[in-house]
Amino acid sequence: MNQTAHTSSAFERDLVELNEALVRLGMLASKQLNGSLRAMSDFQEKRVKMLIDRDRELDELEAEINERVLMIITVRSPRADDLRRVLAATKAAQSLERIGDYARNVGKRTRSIMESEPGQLPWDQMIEIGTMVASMIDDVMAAYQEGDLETAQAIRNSDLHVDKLHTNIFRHVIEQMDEGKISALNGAHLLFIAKNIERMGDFTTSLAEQIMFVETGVMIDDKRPKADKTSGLSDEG
Amino acid sequence: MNQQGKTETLVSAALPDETVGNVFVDNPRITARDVNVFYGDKQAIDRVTLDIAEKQVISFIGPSGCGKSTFLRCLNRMNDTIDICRIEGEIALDGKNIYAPDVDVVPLRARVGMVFQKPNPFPKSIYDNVAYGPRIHGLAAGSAELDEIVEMSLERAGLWNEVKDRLQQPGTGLSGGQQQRLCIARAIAVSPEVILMDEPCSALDPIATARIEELIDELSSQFTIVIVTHSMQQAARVSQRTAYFHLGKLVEVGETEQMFTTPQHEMTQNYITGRFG
Repeated sequence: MNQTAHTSSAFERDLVELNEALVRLGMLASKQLNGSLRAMSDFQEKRVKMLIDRDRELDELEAEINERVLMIITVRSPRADDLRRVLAATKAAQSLERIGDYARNVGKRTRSIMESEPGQLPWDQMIEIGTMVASMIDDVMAAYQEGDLETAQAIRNSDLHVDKLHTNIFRHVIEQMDEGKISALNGAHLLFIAKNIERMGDFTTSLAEQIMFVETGVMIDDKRPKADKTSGLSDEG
Repeated sequence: MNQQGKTETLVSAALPDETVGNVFVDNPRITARDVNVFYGDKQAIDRVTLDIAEKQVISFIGPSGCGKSTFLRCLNRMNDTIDICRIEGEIALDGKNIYAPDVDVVPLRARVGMVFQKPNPFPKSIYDNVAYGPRIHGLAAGSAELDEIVEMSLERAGLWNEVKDRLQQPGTGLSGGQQQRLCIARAIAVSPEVILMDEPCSALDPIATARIEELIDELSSQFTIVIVTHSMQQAARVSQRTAYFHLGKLVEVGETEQMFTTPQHEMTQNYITGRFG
């Protein structure tokens, strides 16, 4: 953030409080994803319940951030980097809230699978992709605070790896289903779980793009590299 | 913001040697080159070079004492009235140096009109306020033509419908916003090429301000307008180009949208975002 303080200390305080709310939301989103991963490695009903309960906190915090942004725009008329920062906050909050939604959904689907067939399923691969995205969320929030463009760019590029892992899981699950090792229902749950985690990666890259917008004033519009091949897979492929 | 990000997006906070941004335009009406202004020993304007484009609104912004009004007043030689004021460099209107010895300031100030911070109608009727300039400059052949100029000027200033039935009443009897529009009508009655406005809305309420801003917008299709304002929202609303002054220097100039979204110089950024350090 810019080091020079605003002449209006109340404006300065508004921006600091907005930022603190966003940091809290980022921590909660990361906690949600990690919680959903723990439900895979050590399933307990209470873990899923906690994911569902905590999701409400994320919803409330997103609403609070949007209210703060509305108030700042109305009362302070922010300009230049201040305006970009408050606009980016709404988008970042939306991305983090969606990450929370996906984590809750991952938890619920994990519960459904565990209730029926807690056997040899590709949980290790799920945890690998999930851990990678969780680390991206932590990194992007730190970069957001620092205005660290280099890290933001690296996070944006690392989504390529997330896409590749997702494609591998997709292929593996389909093979297991073909071979009758996984039921169609659980296979569908697993595909959704993998897709949800991949989408969390997309939201994380969106956060990285918000950092670039805040710091440079330029909206990133070049296509980032993609490696999710699942939509092109066929019986022959 | 980390150091790397900062160096990529902003020029440092020290006053720049050269103005940041493009000071030149393709269609200049006024060209100022290396203008210095001194009040006695004190330098108020420091090597300002700037083009003012034809039929465009440019805003001068900056903190109090930055020199924006001083520079504005150089553009029609209003500073000539201050004995201790000395001006160096060149300011040309349509390529002709307005400080050349053969230039008569009376017709110059008709070509480069001015609207002041506080509405200052003459203690005359509404009609005579507007007719005054055309009369002394001999712009009307007869009373019918003068009537036409008065009506057209009041129309263009958005005041005609409000005053057409009371043209002989004193101009000072109008509301503040109406008085300012009367002053604008008076300025445009002599068909100026450029209109200088020195904080024209600072004494007006928000509705009267909105009417003046609307008027500036309409007038910009016919006139070149330079406006000094302390309201950054106003600068953002009415001008296509914005110039930021600080301590007598022109720090940065650029398209208004760019100046208010992605200023290049850190001083500009600090000023427009309400930071100052």
